Amino acid sequence: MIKGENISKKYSEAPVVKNVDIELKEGSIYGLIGPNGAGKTTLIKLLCGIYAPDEGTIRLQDKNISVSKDIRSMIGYVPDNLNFYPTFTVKDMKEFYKGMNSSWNEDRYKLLREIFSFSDKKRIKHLSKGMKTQLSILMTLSSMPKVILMDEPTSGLDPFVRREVLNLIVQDVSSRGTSVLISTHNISELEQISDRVGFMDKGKMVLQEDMDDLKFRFKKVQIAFEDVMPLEFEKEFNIVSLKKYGKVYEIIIDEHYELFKTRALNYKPILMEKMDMTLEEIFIYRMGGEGYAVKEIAI
Amino acid sequence: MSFLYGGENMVKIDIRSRTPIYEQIIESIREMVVKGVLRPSDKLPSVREMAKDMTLNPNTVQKAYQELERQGLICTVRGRGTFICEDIKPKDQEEKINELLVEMKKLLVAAIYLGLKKEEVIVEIEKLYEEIREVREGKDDKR
Repeated sequence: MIKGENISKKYSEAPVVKNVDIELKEGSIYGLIGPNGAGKTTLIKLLCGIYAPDEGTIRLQDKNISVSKDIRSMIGYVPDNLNFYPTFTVKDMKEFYKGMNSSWNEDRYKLLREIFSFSDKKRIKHLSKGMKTQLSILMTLSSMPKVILMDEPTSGLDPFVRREVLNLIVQDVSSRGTSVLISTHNISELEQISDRVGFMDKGKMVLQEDMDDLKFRFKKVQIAFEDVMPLEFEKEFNIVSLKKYGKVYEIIIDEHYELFKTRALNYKPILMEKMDMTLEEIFIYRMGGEGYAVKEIAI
Repeated sequence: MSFLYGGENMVKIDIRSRTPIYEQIIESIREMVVKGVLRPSDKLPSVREMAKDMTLNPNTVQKAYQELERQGLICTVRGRGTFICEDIKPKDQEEKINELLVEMKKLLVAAIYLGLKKEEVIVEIEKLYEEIREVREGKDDKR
């Protein structure tokens, strides 16, 4: 539904987002992961039209979002740091959103309002971070956007509200076919609700794939030989990540297990077993390979 | 309709598990059928209902349903919903059976290590087999 092609953006000298291609499909939840400072927030701001890209284009339903205001109004944005007018009350804020959005749905607002605990008279400046996020999600869902972009929406929420929010997003996607992008550091949360993931690092999209393909492709294999691991084996499979417990090696393979197995059997292993990997393990493995290794420091 | 059974979600999903979620859905429904909890012509929740009840991505649920349909376990009737097939004909199960045998081998290694003899293993398996059958037939009587 929304498609960014070859987009780049720099603030001063160094580009923060470099030649990124991204597409959010209808009725799909895209999970964006990356270390701090990878360019996730900038990418989100580009996608919702707050920034114009230096290079490349972003199109929603085949219309350039930098040109068309009507198109931009179909995009809902839940920012990481909310800057509402601090002296507005919750009710003022609602009236403001209602006036700004032609697609505002009052019934939906009233329904959703029940879930969130703050009072209508409360001023924005007196709300905590988590409450502001809740308010922003409430406003966005009531505006009935076609695309929802959320920048770490669950980071300040308590576990109950977090579950509720994720559930509302899933419902919105399955009933209205909304395209959603969520950036987060909570990887297991993405594992549950997203069907496509992108790993970002230093402004680049390192990997972008459907969740199931990703999990199908990367496997952890435990393997043991009569003697040590043959050098030819190590070369043939380009083994990057390797742990060793006694005779048993734990390796990560980046190909279809059955294909690997047929070739690996030539080396007559005495043990060979595959294990599924969690998204978090795939992320750490994949980003480690990009030179972004978390140094293991003991204190 | 809520997909609740005895106060618990019928489909068991562990988001911390290594097994992909769509595989967990498939396994869970298959288990229910084998145990006789779900029986031919029983209605399953819609993709949307299950996505909502379990907070899962609807595409993931859809994919699991497609796979179960391909395997001949569930049937979709347009406009009416998804049901357990009247006549379950397992298809393309070779791969699954092989995976199962691998799991059985692991357990057998553990059993041999603990000193169980071949005959004892066979007796225990027969007992378990009877136990599962009794549960199924016991449910048949109640209906």
